[in-house]
Amino acid sequence: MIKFIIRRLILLIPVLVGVSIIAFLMLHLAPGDPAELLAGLEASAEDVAALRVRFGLDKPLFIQYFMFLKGLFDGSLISLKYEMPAASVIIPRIFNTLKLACASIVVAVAVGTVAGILSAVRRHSIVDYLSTTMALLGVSMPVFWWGLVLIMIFSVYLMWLPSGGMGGLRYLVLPAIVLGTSSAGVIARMTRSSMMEILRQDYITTAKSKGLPSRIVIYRHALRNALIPTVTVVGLEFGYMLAGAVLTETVFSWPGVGRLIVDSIMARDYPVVQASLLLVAGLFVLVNLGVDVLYAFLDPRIRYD
Amino acid sequence: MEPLLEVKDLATYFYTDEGIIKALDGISFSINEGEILGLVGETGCGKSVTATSIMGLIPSPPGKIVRGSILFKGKDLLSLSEQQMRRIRGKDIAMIFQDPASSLNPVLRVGFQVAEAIWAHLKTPIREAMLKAVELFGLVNIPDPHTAVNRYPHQLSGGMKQRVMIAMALSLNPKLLIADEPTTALDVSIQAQILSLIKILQRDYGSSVLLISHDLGVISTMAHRVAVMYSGLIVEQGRVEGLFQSPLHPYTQGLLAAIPRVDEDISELAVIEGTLPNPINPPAGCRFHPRCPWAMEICKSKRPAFKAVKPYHEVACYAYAD
Ligand SMILES: Nc1ncnc2c1ncn2[C@@H]1O[C@H](COP(=O)(O)OP(=O)(O)O)[C@@H](O)[C@H]1O
Ligand SMILES: [Mg+2]
Repeated sequence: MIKFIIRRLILLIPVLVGVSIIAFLMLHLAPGDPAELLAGLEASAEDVAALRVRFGLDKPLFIQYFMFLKGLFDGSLISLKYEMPAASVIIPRIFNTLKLACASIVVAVAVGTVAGILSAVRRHSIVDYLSTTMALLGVSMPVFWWGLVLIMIFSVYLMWLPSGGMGGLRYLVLPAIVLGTSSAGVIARMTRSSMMEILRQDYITTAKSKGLPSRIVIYRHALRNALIPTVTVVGLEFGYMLAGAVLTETVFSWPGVGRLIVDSIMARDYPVVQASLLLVAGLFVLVNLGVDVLYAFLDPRIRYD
Repeated sequence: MEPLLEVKDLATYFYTDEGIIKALDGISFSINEGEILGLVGETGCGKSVTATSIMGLIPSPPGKIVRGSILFKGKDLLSLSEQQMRRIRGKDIAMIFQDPASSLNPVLRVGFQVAEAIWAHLKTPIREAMLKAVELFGLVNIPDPHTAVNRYPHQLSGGMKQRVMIAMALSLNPKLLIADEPTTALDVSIQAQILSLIKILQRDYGSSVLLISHDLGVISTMAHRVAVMYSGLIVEQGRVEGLFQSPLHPYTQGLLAAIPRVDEDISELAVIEGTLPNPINPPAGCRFHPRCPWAMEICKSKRPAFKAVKPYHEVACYAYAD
């Protein structure tokens, strides 16, 4: 197992190199000149040229790429927009994003698995219809609309929770619910279908034939098997939360990395975009590694050596 | 003496989108203490449904026991609550299944799965129950039981898995063991070992066994009495010697004639013409009449009743209605 983890961590290197090249090329081949944007509308051609030299934008592409790599390692990477080290721009944002993603995945897993289990155990009952309808709604509701609805109810009318910004746990509640809603729907559907599949298996009949209480049959015998496919989905959803929370972050003015990337693309802040993408890609790979490790814990048939 | 298990007019239907499957349509039989009753019949005739009906594990929906009674030690199992039935399952009546590969939970250690059965009924702490599991593994001849209890199902062969199932079934010394095709999924070389294990344990424990098989060879070596099933009904039952030597029902005769014998030419193997009827729309009267060489007019309209033609040998067929 340890060997497997090390091997996967080594594999991370080519993945990151690939991501960095793609991100680098995409940005540099896209139209728009950061120097012009930075200099402003009234700047003279000389001003722009000076900025270009200052940030090394006049050098050939591959030199710029290696300067970027060097900057990543020695911390000399500078944000073009904020004119400060890219690390101090990105790191706090990454932590904010992780905080939101973790809270959201907890919400999504808790709501999704419980709804999925109830649905499967009492299929074709009111509970099942309610929960499958909610799951469908959750998956298809636009984040913007759902976020605003919650703000209307809990911030404007009830005044229980803040409508945006960062602070204590109270600030986390609404964004975590909004970001977790569609994942909860996806997880609920997955749990329901895998649970129903497992409840038909012969070993469930065996478990019942031993005289085990149905609580044990469901949680010990069925759920552990049903969670195996669910874990994959949870991993994927968590990955999307790391990178794709822009809308939620915008609605709740949450200073996460998703908004940072979008803003930086607008400003052609190449170093920040590239470094952020690299970090997010690295986290994505680590999450997948975590999922594979979890697999081995849930399913003794899986061995990684 | 009162029989251990007495099934009377048991009918189990499945309400499916295609129609009502009358998987069992009024079967009656009994099993005495210490007796092995063989239940034979073609695939799909309702043998497994009989077993699951007794265990109270018919999936509902779509299944439902619509009439009859299942008296176990004189008590009707069908009148018990789920709670009461659970105390009987695994303790008084235990079951082993056809496919050991799918009957054990893949994510739990096999020893734990046995220990859990003991825990479920005696509330023995799992740690202690595991010691009992080691003992049971030894009893069913699993080599190196101390290590074997900690294995997962995928680490054991089919034969070993079935031994685990037997250990599990015997863990609480049940009065009745239901073995549903216990050797069908196993290699021929392993089959004999498993069967003799069941027979030895049955004798030592004094349990009764309902042995289900479509293999007449298995039944003839193992059972004391046989019940022959056809399309949700029992058509003939009696002691093994009598029934195998002089089968009465034309279906039983056909089944026996279909067994290849070492001293006969295989090419002359007799087979019964036709197939098992559709359980949604079974033929009226005797369900076997469309395939029966002796079919008479009455067979097409009225179901024949059971009749003891000889001592301990009953048949449901108009050919014996003098
Ligand atoms: N869960 C179920 N739903 C619908 N039909 C079933 C179900 N279980 C069994 N049956 C039907 O009951 C009949 C008897 O099946 P079974 O008892 O499994 O036969 P076998 O004698 O081979 O064990 C078959 O026609 C089968 O289709
Ligand atoms: Mg069967």
